[in-house]
Amino acid sequence: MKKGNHLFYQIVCIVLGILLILPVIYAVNISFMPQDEILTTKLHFFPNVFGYLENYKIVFMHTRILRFMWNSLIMAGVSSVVRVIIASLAAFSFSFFEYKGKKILFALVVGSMIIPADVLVVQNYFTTAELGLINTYLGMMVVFFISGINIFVMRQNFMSYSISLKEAAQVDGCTNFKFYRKILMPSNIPVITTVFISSFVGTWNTYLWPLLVTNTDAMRTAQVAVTMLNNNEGSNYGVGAVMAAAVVILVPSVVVFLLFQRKIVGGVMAGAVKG
Amino acid sequence: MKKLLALLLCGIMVLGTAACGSAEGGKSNGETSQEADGTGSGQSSEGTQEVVFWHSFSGATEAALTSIINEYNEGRGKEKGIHVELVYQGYEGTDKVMLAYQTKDYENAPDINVGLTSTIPAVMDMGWTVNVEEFMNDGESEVTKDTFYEPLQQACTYEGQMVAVPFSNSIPLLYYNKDMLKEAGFEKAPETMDELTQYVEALTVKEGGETSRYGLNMQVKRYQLVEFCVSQKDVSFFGDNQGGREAPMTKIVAGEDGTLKAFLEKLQALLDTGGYKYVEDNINEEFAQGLSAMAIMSSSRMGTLDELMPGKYMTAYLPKVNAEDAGGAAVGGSCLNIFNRDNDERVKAAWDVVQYCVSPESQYTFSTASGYIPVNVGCEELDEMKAYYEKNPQYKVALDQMKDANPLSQEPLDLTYNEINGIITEIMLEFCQGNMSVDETVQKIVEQCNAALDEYHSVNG
Repeated sequence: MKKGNHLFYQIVCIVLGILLILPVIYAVNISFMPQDEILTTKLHFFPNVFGYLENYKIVFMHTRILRFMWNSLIMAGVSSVVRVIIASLAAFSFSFFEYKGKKILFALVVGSMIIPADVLVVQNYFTTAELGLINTYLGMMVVFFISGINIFVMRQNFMSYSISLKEAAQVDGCTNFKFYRKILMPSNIPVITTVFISSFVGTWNTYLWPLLVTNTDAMRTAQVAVTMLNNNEGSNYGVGAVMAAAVVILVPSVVVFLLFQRKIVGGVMAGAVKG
Repeated sequence: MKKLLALLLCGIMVLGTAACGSAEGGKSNGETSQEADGTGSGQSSEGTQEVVFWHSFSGATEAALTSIINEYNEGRGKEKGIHVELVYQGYEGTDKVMLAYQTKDYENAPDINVGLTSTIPAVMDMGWTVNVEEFMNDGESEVTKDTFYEPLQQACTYEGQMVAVPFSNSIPLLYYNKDMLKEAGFEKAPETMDELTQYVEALTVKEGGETSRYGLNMQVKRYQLVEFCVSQKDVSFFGDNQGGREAPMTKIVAGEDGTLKAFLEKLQALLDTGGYKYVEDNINEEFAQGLSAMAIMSSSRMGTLDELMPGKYMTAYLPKVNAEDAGGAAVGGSCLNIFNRDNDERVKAAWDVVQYCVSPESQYTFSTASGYIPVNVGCEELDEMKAYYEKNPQYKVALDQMKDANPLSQEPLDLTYNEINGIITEIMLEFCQGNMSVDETVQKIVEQCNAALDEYHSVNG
């Protein structure tokens, strides 16, 4: 790439990055502002004094946010791992084996991607209630265990994987599951990480389903804490408290992303097959 | 890599174990109910009758309700062997009850739910909803129809019966900035829409072609439109069958009786001043910041405004469309519904809890924390309530307006509440933007709302 182009590319990326991060920074700043500082007609980007913690006190005193975050962590963590396992096994089957009805099955998986989740709510609730899973973590997670788009993404990734590697492994006496476990998965870390992060963030941000299948305050998720503080007729904790709650529940998503983002670009198949 | 994977799997195993453990713990923590003894009777081993109460309140309102319930559990509940479990459900509470009913999931439903009065027809359609009039007619009941103000009795009446219990009710008010009106030379709030237009003209401030202060802020959605229609004449209804209270509503009548047109004509005059802001962004905050001199909002916003601009505002009755109108504004808000989950003992316990929640003392706690109108007629006679009203006259305005209104002046039970709200919001925005005439707007609102009602009736028989 020419030097000029490179510089232009960098500038565009930086500007885009700033545009994307600005609302988040503004939200963080608001969480440190008292009400009268937020409610001004002029743009007030930075708080006058950093260290105003009343909004955070409201969050921790008026909601059980830590308990809610723990619930969310269990729900998002377990369902993301299960999703990775199920999606990778399904994708393994779709990309490395030939059997009758494979194309139809794959078409069904892809077809499931166009069904909006909202239309399934009643039926899913019915099934979950019939299984006796209301008010349980399993009930909160079960609908997130399988995702058509994750299977699709992994299958596409596995399709580009060299079939000769599998054949070579088989010649050496490697079983199918051993190949999946010892060779395929470790060499596909980027896609696993991508699926895990998107699944974790997606499930972490879910509001309606966990609210539907739980009936006790102890089982609520982090997103509910924000709505509990949100402007409600008759009472008002203010925008600052809502932003403080949003900032607090943003932390785990950011941590997960920071922990795993290196793996997205880091794990390439370099050197897997020689010649 | 292996290390990371191993670590991750270990972590997930721990979480998974916690998941199972806590899920089971959650059941027993509930102590409650169905899961505790497996019978669905809701009786714990000590013989305490459990009552599940779903609500949608947050902030100070939730704190007030929690204190009422805690008092009940510690006092009267303990004596009678009843324990209430309060559960926050957000605004999805009524939808969840319906979902549980549709899926016959009796075990995971509440005994009491706070639901909008406009959802009464849909809630009563469910076979398990208790008609509370039967309890109120029982000679031993401490709560009867007369416990409540007449407009509130009517608000909870469906097909001639008072089927639900008023609980968190509010009424639209005109909020005005005391200093701004004084500066403009006005001694009192406007009483009619003609006066309102004059006030808006005088209170609007323009600087270099930009409006720096609006005279009035109010977005006309279903709530506002209905209020201005039903408050006209001696009594008016938005829909047929007395707005759906005598029998299910099948069409809009505000078009044929002229109330809708009369309101739109007055609104046009307001729009022509250029000082009326017809969209709501942050109406509370903008009013508090002095960006608008007046605003029309529900009385339940007073708690919020007391925090944003203590002492700087006052409230007044909703301006009349025509000077001779005597209908008055309609109360809105939520009521308490009781459900019978195949257990009469639970229903009796739930009724006891409801009676406690609407007692004068409980209503004092609830009303002063939230700004909702106290529903019990005995509440305003309490010494502490009298003192409160003396100190906060703006709250008394809400109560007086409700008492002065014709009890039949009510929001409609319009069956397709959300759809009708969407239709009215969209069409009124077009009207305010100057894209439609008064007659076109009346016609479009009536046609589209009627189509929505027709569709509802064709699907639901």
